[in-house]
Amino acid sequence: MRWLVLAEMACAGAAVALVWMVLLARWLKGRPVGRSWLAGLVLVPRRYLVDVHHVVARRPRNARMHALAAGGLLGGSLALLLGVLPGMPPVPGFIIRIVAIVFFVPGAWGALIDRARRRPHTPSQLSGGAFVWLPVALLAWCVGNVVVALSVSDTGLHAAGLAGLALALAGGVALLVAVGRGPMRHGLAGIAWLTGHTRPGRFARAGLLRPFDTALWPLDLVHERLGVLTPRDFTRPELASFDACIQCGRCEEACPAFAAGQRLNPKALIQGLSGAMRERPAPYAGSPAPHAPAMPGGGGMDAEIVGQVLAPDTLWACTTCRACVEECPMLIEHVDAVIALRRGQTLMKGAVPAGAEQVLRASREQAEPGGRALDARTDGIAALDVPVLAPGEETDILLWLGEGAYDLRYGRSLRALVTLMRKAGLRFATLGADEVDCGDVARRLGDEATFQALARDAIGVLGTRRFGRIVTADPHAFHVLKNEYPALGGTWVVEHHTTLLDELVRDGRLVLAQRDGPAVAYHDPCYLGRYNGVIDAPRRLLDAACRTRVEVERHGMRSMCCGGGGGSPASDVDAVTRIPDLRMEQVRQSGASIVAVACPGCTAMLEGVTGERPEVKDVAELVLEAVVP
Amino acid sequence: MRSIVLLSGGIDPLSGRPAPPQGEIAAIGLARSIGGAAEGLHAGGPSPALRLAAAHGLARVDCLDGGGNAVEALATYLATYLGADPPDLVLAGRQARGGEDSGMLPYLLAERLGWPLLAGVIAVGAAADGWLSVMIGLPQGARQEARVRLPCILVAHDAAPAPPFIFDRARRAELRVVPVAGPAPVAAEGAAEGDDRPYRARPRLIGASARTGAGQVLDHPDIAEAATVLRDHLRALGVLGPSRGASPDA
Repeated sequence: MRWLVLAEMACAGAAVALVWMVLLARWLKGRPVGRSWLAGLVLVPRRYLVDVHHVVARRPRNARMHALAAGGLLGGSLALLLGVLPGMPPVPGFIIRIVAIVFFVPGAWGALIDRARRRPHTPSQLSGGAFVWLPVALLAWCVGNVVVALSVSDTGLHAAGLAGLALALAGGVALLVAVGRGPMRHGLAGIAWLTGHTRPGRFARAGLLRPFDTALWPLDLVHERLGVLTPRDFTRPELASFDACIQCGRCEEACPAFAAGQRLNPKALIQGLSGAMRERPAPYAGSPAPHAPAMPGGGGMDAEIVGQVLAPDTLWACTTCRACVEECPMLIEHVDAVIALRRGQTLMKGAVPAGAEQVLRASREQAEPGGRALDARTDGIAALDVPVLAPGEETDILLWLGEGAYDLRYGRSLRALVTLMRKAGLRFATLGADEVDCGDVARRLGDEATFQALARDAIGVLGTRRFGRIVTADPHAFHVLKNEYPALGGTWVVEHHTTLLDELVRDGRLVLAQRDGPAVAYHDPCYLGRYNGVIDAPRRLLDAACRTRVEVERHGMRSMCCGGGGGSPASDVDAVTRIPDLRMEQVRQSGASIVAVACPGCTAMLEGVTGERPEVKDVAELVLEAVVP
Repeated sequence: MRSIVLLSGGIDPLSGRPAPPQGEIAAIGLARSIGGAAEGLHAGGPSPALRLAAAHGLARVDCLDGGGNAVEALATYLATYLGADPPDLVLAGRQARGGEDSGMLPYLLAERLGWPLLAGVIAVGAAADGWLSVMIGLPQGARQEARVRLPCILVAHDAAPAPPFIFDRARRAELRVVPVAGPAPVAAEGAAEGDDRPYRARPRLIGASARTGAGQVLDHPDIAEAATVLRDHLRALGVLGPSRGASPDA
């Protein structure tokens, strides 16, 4: 009996190791990254227990289920293996087998909790298929091994022990299938992914529970292949990350494009990429990308992904809001995958949606995505006589106007900001006609060449002026200037206008009197909140300026996108409803009559909502209304 | 079939940045639609706009160094350097950008080479027996089929389908400087010369017709009858040209 159990455990262990080798061999076909896997492996326990847990624990029931099932399975199996090792004296062996039972019983309990999640029906965000029988396999393995642990003795075979062994074996084989082709793959892939994670900067470190590492990395434009066309073009850890997806569907619940019925479901996207690595992928039993045409799927490491696995619209529907990344317990980088694929389509094939093509051409030829004259950018604030900083001149604050400055509506917000800066006695100037587009839209649309050309221009222009810091009212420009230019050789202090105004109010250079008025809700721009963690400054300002402030259900780091990011409005992907309409409905539910915004994109998208709706006002406008003259 | 696309050192009129004009992109599209080898040709030094143009589908652009004015340089290049393997087609945009921009260059080149020229080409069909069938784009979406003897010069319509911009092609494109015998390039003299003529008042057709007061009121007419009446009326006013042979509605 002892030998049978030993053989069972050894076979299971060997099979898992073999499967892992097969998976590793596949991931190693990707592009190498110049980092040590060994150094990464050391970090895995900490990354798992701190960063992964931080996300998983947002849903305590799931966290409990996972701790019981995974802990029970691993702990129990290991203890049972130790308990039947040859040469183990009887008494410690007995104690260790009791320990195994102590693990296996909670493991079975975890399996039951998991089963209950799909009773009576599988919720839409969860996957069916193999996930439905996985808890049964887990239960069989745990229960069977409890019986085995109870009946192991040195005296021959027991009928009960053999029955337990058979049950455990059946469960074990099913689990092994799940490890190789099904849900359990996430355990092995997860370890590989946490080892080689492509954004090491986002893991907790001393004094920082949630550091930000959200900048896209520059592409070397002399590479033979730019971006991703086939699975082989992804990096090795990225390939592991697609296999690490456990299909929990949290990304799907958070995705604005999915909610609006566009052809994107982040979960289906990652599963599609996981399947793209294989000639015959395991069937996907979750909800698909809405209204997407059926794709053949699979194809292997050298097959084109777009057209074979993904519909082109899926790629262009993403607003790059990072809501899926924020929700992912496996810390998968969906947006990086989308951008990598877009880079392949844009740079290698020129296959971009018609609207986006116009935007990219204008960015290339006019240095402005809207194709407007650069000297018209200051027209909106012309009446305020803001000085223009010539080369060689110096000022305290450089006001970066951004693309929003051309918009008549956003001109009001900018004028409010300039008026406030004047009231506070600040010395500031703009670049006038020398300000080119920062390149945000081009970069998100995958046109890294145009982005780098624009960035070179902008860095050149900024380099010839002297200033203390850059302030901008555009979170996209803020993110690009602050986080993405340093990699290209431009490092400055960059602030969003809400941070500047908050500082002025706290220093007493602006005095606000709280105004009685309708309730105000703040809508977090993705590139300010999720990308950069600036969520408190605008709220402090609103609290000082307005008596009643309410929160929308989705706010702060988990806010919902307005639909204006990532070049999505230019790509104009078919949808069932509009993203800003959904967001405005959420604002309405919060009971607010004014929605405070801090981004030209959000302003334009939310102002585009028709019918009766809360008024859209920039934080600067609300602060100006409350300022004591 | 071998085609050559004439390219200008395009400058965007708004920003002053390098940008190939739409017509030249359309010309590249036509060249690619025929199949066979397509190359770019530019009378002047290698400029960044050429690489941007090549991104739409050219593997190589020859930049002519010397050879006198642009027309002479192009003609010399086509006659001498391509003598053994002459192109069947030379394509150009409606108007260059960043040079003299007169729109005359293809016509002057056609005159110099003695080749036929067709302007406003929106699509190219098949070649047979030394003739090429093309589709001409007329105002308001009208199309006209035509045939032209090869070799010839085609001037692309701005609305001809433009091939996409592919950065990968731009970075791989070869800009080759080809020295051409002849004097150093000078500002093309006489290229865009014209006659000064005094202002001539032209009849205003719409105003004139409104004043005549003549007209015909049709009450619930048959569609074919209404169309005939309208067509005849427009012909009477001189807005439509006279009938050309068998028309589909006749």
